[in-house]
Amino acid sequence: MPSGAPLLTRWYDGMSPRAHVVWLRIDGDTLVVEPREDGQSPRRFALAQVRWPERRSHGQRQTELPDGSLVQHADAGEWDEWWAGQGLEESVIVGWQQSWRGVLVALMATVLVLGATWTWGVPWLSERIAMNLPESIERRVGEESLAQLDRLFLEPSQLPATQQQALQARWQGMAQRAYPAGGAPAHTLSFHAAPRLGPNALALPGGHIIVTDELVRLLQDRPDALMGVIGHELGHVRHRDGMDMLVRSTFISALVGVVFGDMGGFVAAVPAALVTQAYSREAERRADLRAAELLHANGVSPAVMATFFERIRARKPGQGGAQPDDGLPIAIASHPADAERVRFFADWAPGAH
Amino acid sequence: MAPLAEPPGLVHVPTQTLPMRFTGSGREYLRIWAVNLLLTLLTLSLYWPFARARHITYFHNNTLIGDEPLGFHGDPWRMLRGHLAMLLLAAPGAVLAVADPLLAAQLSVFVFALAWPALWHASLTYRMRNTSWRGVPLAFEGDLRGAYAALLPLLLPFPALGLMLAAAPVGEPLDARQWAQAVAPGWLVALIALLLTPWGLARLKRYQHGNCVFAGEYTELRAGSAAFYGVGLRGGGLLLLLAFLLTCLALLLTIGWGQILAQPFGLKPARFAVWFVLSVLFGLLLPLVLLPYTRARLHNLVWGHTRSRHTHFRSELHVGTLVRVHVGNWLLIALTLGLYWPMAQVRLARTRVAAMSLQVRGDVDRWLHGPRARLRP
Repeated sequence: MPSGAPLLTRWYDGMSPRAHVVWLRIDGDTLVVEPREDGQSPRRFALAQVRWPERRSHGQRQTELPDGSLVQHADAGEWDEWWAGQGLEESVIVGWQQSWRGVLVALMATVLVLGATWTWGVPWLSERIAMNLPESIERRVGEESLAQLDRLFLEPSQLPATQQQALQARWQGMAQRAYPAGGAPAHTLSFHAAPRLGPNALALPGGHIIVTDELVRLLQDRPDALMGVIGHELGHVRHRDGMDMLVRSTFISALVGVVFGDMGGFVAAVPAALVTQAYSREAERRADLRAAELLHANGVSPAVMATFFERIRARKPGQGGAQPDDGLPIAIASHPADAERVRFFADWAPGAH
Repeated sequence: MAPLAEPPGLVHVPTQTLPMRFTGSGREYLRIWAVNLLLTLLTLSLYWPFARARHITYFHNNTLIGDEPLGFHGDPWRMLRGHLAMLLLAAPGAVLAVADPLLAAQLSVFVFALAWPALWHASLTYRMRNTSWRGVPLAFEGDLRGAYAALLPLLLPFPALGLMLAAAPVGEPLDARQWAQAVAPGWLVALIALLLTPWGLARLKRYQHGNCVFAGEYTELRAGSAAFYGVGLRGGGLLLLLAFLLTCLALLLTIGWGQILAQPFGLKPARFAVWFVLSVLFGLLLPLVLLPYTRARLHNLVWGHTRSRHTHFRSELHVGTLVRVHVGNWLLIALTLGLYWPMAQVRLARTRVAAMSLQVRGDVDRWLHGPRARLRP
C-alpha cells in the first residue's frame, strides 16, 4: 500500500465501549483519524506521540493515541501491509523477535551468558565478596550458626578430658608442621556429642571446626584419618567456603528468578539446589586437597583417609541423621562420589595437583 | 422501532453470551521470551520492565472477549522506576541476609506482613488502570484499608512466627523433650494458618474481584467463605485418598518384592515403602494432580461468581483437562530442559481462557448512556 493510503479500521474514543468505523491515514507528520459517518470532523495526532503496536503474527493490533483513544485492528496481515507502506521505523527488537534465526542466536547467547556466569561470574564475584567481607561479619555469622547448631544438634562432649587434650595437641602439632611459621588460618577446634548428626565434622564461618564424639569413636584406632578430616575442615576455613556458599546461593536464586520469572518458588528451588550442589562438590574437592597436603607434610600417607570413607559407608544408611544446612558436613553416607574421593586420596602424590 | 413500545421496567432485555478465547501462539511467545530473556540478562535485569510490559501486552492482546481483545497500556519507563526502587530495597536486604541471617529472617517476616497488602494494592490499581477492553480502561477502586483487611487472615500467622523466632531459647542445648516443646508452637501456628487459608483466600478474592469498574459496571464476587472451605475440604479429601491408595500400593509392592525393590536404594523394605509413598505423593501427585485440581475448582468458583449489574462471567474449567495440561507441560519442560516453558504458559492460558465466557444483558455499546455513566479519570 502506498504512503498516505487510508486504512478502514475501528476506533474507540476511550470513554464509551462503542466502536466507530474510521479511515486511518498518515498525512506528513500527523496521523488522521477520519470517521466514516458523515458530519464528524477528523482528528489529527502528531506522529511522534502515537504509540504503535509491535508487529506480531498473533493478536489484534492496538494503537494508542495521545488523547486516550484507541485504534484497534483485527486483521494482522492487512495492518502489516498498510504499515509497511507508510515508511515508519520499526524497532530492531521487533524484527529480531520474528526471526527464527535471530531467536536461535538469542537462545545460544543466553546459554553462553548463563554458562559463563555460572562457571566464572558467580565464583569470581562470591569469592571476592567472601574474601573481602569484614572479619567481624564473618565472625558474627559463625557465632550465629554455632549458637543455632548448639541449640538443635550439639551436646557437651562425652570424651574424657585427657583424650580431648591429646587430640588437640596432636592436631596443633600437625597443623604447625603443615603451615610453618604460624601460617595456619585462624580456627578453633571443639568436640561435641551430637547423636542427631552421627560421625561428622563441620566447618562454620569464622573458623569454628566442630568434630562429633561419634566421629572420634569411629576413628579411635586411626587418629591420622581423624586428623585428615580436621585438615579437610581447615581447608574449608582457609578458603572461607562457608561464606562463599552463602553468597553463591544468594546469587543463584536471583539468577533463577530472572530466567523463570513467574515460576513458582517450589519449582525454582530445584535448579538452585542443583547448582549449589555442584559448587559444593568443587569446594569439597579443594578441601580434600588441603587435607592430603596436611597429612603429607606430617609424613602420613593420605591413603589413610580410605578407612574413614569405608567406615562411614559401612554404617547403615539412614543413621547419618539430619544434615544442617549451614555447615559443610564432610561426607554424606550415600554420596556417589565417595569412591572417587577414596581414589583421590589413594593416588595423591606431592606436586601432582 | 416497534410500534407498541413496552412500558419501562418490563422491557425484555436480550442476554447474549460473549465467548472467550486465547489466540496466542506458543511458538511466537517462545521467540518473544527468548529475545527478551537475553536482553534482560545482558542488561543486569534493567530491561526486565520492558520484557514484562511486552509479555502482558501479548497475553492481553490475545485474550478475546467476544472477538474484542484486552489491551495493556503500561509505560515500561515508569515500570523501570519501580524496578529500580525494588532493586535498591533488595540490596541492603541481601547484605543483611548474609551478615545476619536470623535478624534478616525476623525482619523480612515483619516487613513482608506489613508491606505486602500495600504492594498488592498498588499493583492491582496499576494493572487495572492500564488494562482496557474496547478502548475503555478498567479501574480498581479497592482502598488500602480494604487490602489490609482482606489479607489479615493470611498475614496473622506471620507475626506469630516472627515472635516465635524471637522467643526461641538461646544458648542452652535442648534434650529431645525440650526440642519437641520448642517446635510444638510452630506446628500449632502452621495448623491455624492452614485452617485460616480458605477464609483468607475468600476475602482476598472478594476484594480483588469485587472492586473493579468498567464503564459504569461495578463488579462483585458473590461467593461466601463456605464455598472456599468446600474446595479446601475436597482437596484435603483427595490428598487423603491418594495417600491411602499409594500406601496400599506400596504395601502390596513391598510384601511381594520388598527385598528386590529396596535393594538398589540400599534401604530396608519398610523404609523403602515410606520413602516411595512420600516421594510419589509430594514429587508427582501433589504438583500434577492436587494442584491443578484445586486450581480448576478455585478458577470456576471465583470466575463463575464474578458479576456486575449487566454482566456475569461463566467458567467451566474441567479438572481432567487442567491435569492433562499440567502433566504435558511439565513433561515437555523437563524433556526440553526448560525450553518449553514459554509454550507451557501459552497452553495454560489458552485452556483457562477457553473455559470462560461473559454473559451480557443488553447492549455493551450503550453502557455509557445510562445515568451512572461517568468515567473516572
